[in-house]
Amino acid sequence: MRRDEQYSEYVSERLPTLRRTAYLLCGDSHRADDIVQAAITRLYLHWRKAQAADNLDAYVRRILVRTFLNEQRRAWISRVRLTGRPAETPTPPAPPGPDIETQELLRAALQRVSPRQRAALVLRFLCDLPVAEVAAQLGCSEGNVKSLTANGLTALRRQLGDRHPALAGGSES
Amino acid sequence: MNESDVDGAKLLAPLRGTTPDGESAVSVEKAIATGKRRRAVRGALGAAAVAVVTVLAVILVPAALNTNRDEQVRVATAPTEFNVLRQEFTVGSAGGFTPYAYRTGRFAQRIDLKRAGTPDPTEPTAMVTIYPSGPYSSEPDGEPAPAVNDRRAKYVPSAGPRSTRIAWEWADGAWAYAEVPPGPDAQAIAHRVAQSVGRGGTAPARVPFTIGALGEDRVLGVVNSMPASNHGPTAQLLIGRTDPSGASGEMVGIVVGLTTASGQQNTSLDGRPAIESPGRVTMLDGGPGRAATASALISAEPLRLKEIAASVQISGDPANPSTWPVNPVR
Repeated sequence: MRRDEQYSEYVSERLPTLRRTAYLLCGDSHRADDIVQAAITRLYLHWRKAQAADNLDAYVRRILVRTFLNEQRRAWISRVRLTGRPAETPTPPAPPGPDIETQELLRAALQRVSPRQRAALVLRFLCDLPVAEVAAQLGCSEGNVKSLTANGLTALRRQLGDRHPALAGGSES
Repeated sequence: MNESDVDGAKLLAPLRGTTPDGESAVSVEKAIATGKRRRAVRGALGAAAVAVVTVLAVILVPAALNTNRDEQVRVATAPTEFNVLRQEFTVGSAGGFTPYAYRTGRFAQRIDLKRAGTPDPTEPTAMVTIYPSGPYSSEPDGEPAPAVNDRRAKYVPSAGPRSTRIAWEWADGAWAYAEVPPGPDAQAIAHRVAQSVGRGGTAPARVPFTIGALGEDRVLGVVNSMPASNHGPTAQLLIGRTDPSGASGEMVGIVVGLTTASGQQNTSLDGRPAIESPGRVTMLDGGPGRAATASALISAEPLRLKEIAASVQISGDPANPSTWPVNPVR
């Protein structure tokens, strides 16, 4: 069927970008795959509407971000390990080199920022979207995006603390 | 770009090249197949709904006009939130799985299961999650499944390849989920696990300590080991300043529990020996070989973590849950 072919072609081409965005949002490869799988299934159900959208990529990204936020709200309980031991805070594995170390520090810190702030930071600074576009993706006002971004950066720096001055220092570095 | 934007871009720049580990488990074919099934189910449900409405109109309209009718239709209702200090459900051993941990919460109660006769796994092998009515209990998409304890049920497609899920409406407008590993009989096993969930008398969820005044925080839940656990009676208290009922879905979470005292003291809090590491504070003077630990689950002010950890007072015998205090907050 032509419809399925068009869908399949589009999604296959965009999969790497969708996986990367989902991974940046949730910080876990398996969860990223789950989020992408749920998002593209939803996209299939709304494919006709998606094709009629002004910007198909933005439409699909919006589905992805909302799938992440919905999953985050509903499954937040799943992220608490019920092992009977209070050892929930994951410790990043020993990094082999300074670049990896920086990435690991930053990735772990980003995962400790609240989901909506994290989504704003990822869309704004790693997907390079303008404020108006991020507002559309998150379903909020541009002012709200600016607030989420500013608070997210503050939270991120607080998480980094003095463990990585070059990162935590922001404009001072 | 303003100064804040430049800062943000610079701060996050090391992650620009980040990609997920391993090969993708995402399947376009599976998305198409699942999408087609859901569309078919929706179509069938739509047609069925029209038929049901027609039949009900024929039956109920005359009944509604009967002014002598004195019987009321009884509807099973669900709470809009649970008591965080009560385990509101029971789960039996079923389908080869047995429960080993229970987590209470206002907006979900969760039970982790493992394969019977095995040690507690780091991650649950199977899981039951029960939601009250409200925003977390929207009816899921899925395919019809046999009723669970006479309540309607659906097999809910798992987004990933790692589990099989069944959802059932345990009370009107409130849904629960049982999730088991994939396998040839996974759907039947998930159904059996779901059937083992009961709502009998509720049991208290306690911890063997108390903490100081919560301030803006609140208790979000209690995690207890269950009899089949090989870790003995253990408990953790989950606290936070906001919870997922907020429109933003943002939350801050801290986990407090007792551990075995180990590690090298690297700081003192109020003159007491402690270990401070990123996202974690451990007080080393909790009694013979015992320590109190506060861990950041999402994000928390380091000062708040210290306050919480330092406020922990052991209460009752940690080995005997019946002696633990009913209220964990002093």
